[in-house]
Amino acid sequence: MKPDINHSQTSVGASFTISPINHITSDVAGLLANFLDALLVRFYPRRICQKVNVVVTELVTNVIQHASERDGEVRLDLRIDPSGLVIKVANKVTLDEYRTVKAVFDEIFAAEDPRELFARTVRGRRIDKQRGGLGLIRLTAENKFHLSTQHVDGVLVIQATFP
Amino acid sequence: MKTLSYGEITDGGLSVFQSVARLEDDGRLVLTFEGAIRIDNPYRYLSGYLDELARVLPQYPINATTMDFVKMRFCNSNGFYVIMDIVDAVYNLVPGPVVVRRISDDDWQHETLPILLNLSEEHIAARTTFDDVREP
Repeated sequence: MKPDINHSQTSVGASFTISPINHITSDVAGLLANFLDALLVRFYPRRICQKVNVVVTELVTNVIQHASERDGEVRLDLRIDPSGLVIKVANKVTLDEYRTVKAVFDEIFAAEDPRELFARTVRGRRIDKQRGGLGLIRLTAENKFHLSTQHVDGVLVIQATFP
Repeated sequence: MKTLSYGEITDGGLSVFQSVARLEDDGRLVLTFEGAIRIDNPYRYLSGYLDELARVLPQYPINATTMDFVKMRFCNSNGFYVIMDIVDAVYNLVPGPVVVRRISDDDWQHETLPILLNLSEEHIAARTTFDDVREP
């Protein structure tokens, strides 16, 4: 790196689309997360890059594991610049799937203390070691992302922003 | 120093996560966590390690424990429960104080690890101190 350059002033954008979801058989979420982590650490502090690693892993894994519209696509958009980090993950969902996700969002938004909700959820789901269900809460409580969701024309978009 | 047990997750033949329990000559148990947990079901690889910890830990005169997470780079949410089971084995089967080494500015090690250690339980919190270190 050139010592006289402030690398944290760099803007980076990336978009990935994979279709159909049904063709994904390996840890694509991990590959994307590790790639973006390795790319961004050239410009931004490791702490920020690890947030990217976690959010890409959790959101893309959610789609790969739970999307019922297996013929559709998963889209990942990332933008980072000195003002902040924005990541969007989109895929086609049924109305029931959207309601399930929205219920998690409603629980997060209603929580006075996201960390307490996270701790309670981890302990509660540990009893029968339920898979999934922690990712969105984790992003809020652990990584301090601001989450939002949209459901337009059958496509669910989850957006995570930091700070 | 004696190695008591070893657990590992592999991916495509490569080791991606390792945990080692070893007993130092002064009676301190050192439990290291290294690599990343990314797979969907880590119990597939680590259930034998958990069984072995439950079997061997009560057999040794351990007086203190260090759990070292400094080289553990990532843990997905499916990995939380196996970490909880490993640390539970230590707190339930080994007496004495527990030092937790972690990276000073890592989100999961600061926000989530205390939950996985179950520090909301007073008797666990009373035994536990953190050693925050800079990332190697």
